[in-house]
Amino acid sequence: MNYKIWIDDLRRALERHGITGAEAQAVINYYEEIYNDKRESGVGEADILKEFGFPEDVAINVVSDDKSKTQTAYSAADEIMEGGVNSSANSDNKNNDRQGNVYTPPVYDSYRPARSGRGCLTILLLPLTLLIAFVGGIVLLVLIGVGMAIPLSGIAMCVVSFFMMTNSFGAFLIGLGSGIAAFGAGCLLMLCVINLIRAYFGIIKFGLGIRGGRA
Amino acid sequence: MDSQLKKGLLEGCVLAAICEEESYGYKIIGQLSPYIEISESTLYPVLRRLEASGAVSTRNREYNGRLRKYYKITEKGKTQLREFYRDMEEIMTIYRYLNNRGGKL
Repeated sequence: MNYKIWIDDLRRALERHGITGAEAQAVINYYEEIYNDKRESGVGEADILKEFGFPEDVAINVVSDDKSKTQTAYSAADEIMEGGVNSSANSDNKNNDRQGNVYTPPVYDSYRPARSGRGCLTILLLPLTLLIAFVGGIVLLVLIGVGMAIPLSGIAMCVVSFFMMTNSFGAFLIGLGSGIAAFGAGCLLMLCVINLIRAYFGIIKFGLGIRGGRA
Repeated sequence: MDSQLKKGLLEGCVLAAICEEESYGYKIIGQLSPYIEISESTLYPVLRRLEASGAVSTRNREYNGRLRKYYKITEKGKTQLREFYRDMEEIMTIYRYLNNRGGKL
């Protein structure tokens, strides 16, 4: 894990929490400044990232401060929020400082989906997803095999038809026509199979709660 | 420590750290960390709040080929700091009372 990845993760985390544009840039500038100051005073990159903590927690800290700012009275709800989200972020930093709990990709990858609020849904969908993955995988393999066999047989028929040309021109034309038709049908089937493969992986990704794109 | 109390204390401490001369994030953390638990992620919201309330003003200054944000206390910030000191005196009075009464428990 390096600093650039950390900053990219922070940018994405802020985006996920609705902080974009100048506001997000201000947060990033702040951390960049602190990072540069620490580097110049001789602190190593890994130690700095350890102290910064998880980008997700940094984003939560910024967001929770915004929320508390908009509330005029200190209520029980505030207490819960502070004790839950905000201080958990702070306590993470405390742990980082005191116990050397490192910001590392494996831990980060494992906690990120849990914060997306899809944890329960993922667990419910898991058996169904595994079933679809298994059955769909077999069906797709068969279709791929058929889809490859048909155009190949078409090519073979075309080649064979050339050898038949000396015996019967009619048989050559039939063979060539059938070969081209088989090749075309095979290609169409392969196009369908490609789309099915994309849908297959899309369903599995959704079922497992894996986010696509930049997230 | 109660989070609201700590918030208030941090604001006062940050204002105290920049009351004599303008300062920047890393330096403020360095100044305060021996006395109060503070990290980058806890300082940022404090600075933002102080800036938004007009207690501090900011300016970017070039340092080593990059920009560094400096925070300077304003008149409003000085007033807030004076109030903070008064509050702290009250807290100290309460603390002395508590210490006399229950400190022996």
